[in-house]
Amino acid sequence: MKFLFCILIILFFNQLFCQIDFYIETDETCYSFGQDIYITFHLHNTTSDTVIVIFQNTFPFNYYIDDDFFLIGAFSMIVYTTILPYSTFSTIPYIHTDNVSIGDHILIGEFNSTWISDPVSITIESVGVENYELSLISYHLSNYPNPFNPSTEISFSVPQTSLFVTIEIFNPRGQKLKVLSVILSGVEGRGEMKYRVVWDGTNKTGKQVPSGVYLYKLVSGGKELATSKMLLLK
Amino acid sequence: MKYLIIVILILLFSIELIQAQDLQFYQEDLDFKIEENYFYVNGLYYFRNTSSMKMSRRLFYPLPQDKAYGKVDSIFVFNIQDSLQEINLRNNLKGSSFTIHIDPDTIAIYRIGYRQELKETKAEYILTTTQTWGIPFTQVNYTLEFPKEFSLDSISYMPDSLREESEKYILFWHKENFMPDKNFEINYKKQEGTLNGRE
Repeated sequence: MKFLFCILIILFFNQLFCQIDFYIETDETCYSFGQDIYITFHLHNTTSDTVIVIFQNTFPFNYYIDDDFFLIGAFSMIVYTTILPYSTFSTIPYIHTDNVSIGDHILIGEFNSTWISDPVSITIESVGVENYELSLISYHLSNYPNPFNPSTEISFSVPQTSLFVTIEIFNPRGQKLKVLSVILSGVEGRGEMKYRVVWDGTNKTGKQVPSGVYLYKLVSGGKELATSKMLLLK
Repeated sequence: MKYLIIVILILLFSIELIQAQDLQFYQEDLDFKIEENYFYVNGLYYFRNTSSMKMSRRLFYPLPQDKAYGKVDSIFVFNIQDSLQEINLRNNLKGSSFTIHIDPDTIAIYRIGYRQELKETKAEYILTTTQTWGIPFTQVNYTLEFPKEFSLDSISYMPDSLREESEKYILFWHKENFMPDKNFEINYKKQEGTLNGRE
């Protein structure tokens, strides 16, 4: 009896601090940076509610912008809103995909000044992106060895949509040192092909560059597809 | 009476939960150095107490365990605002623990350093335990110093920049909004007589 009473009290406290977890479920594997993602949900409560929506990334979630590598932690995006009873609410344009991704938790509950309490009854209606220019392609841009001396092999995958791509190499000051052109071979429309190109650690005049961190970009049709870093140690 | 005790215990547990939200580990500046057969770590660790109460918390500082690593033969902790007073550590095989004290609505910066013997040619610093704090670092700054005769085979995080000095290299990292997903690991070779071990 005492044990039951104890359990009831714990349940009461759990209820006070309870959060509702939802998963974002989409068929997409990747969103490109800066896309506006929307999540529409429906409130089943009979009264109007102020609702807090917290987008909580699961670990680890990484994404790339140019050469920088980011990891987003928990509680990265919070939306407060008032929802009318039985109404449907869409989060556009509050959420950016730099803060939310597949598998992220969405916590929804009534807003309290310090915590989420008294979870409301909400159903996620749909999830999507505002515009559908999704980056679904992974270019697997990498180099080996890294660190390297004196040369390294840069490898990448690209779909057969152009005749050639370039690897552009930059020094830490952002100056372009060299452009390596790669003619794409294979049958058009046969999906992704893997390519390799060697950088011998020289600039466009053939001179050896000093030790340092170098940036390299995969470029096709003037469009930057992927970026990475490599370390030359002499 | 027993019910009262249970209620008090639950209340204490709840207060502990709320306090956990108020203590944040938000920044670290770490200097790593490999020299001879030792890996040196010297870091500043930044904590923030966002509550209106003075907070004391016992923290565990993990040390890497692997047959490639030897003993940690020196470890120290200071509150840099009170640097004359070294903080007592409790050590076990997996790491050390110590208590931090932070006044309400303020920050505290602790300096922690240690030296670990390297039995093989790799070194490691544990970063992934940061995930238990639940929020990413606002920013981190790391440096790694190693002699030029060492040939670096791999690093778990690519550096942002490099400085070359007469006898050594220094690598630099600066990251913002950073939640580590792997430890800081370095694999290297010790070779002499060639440029970085390679012709």
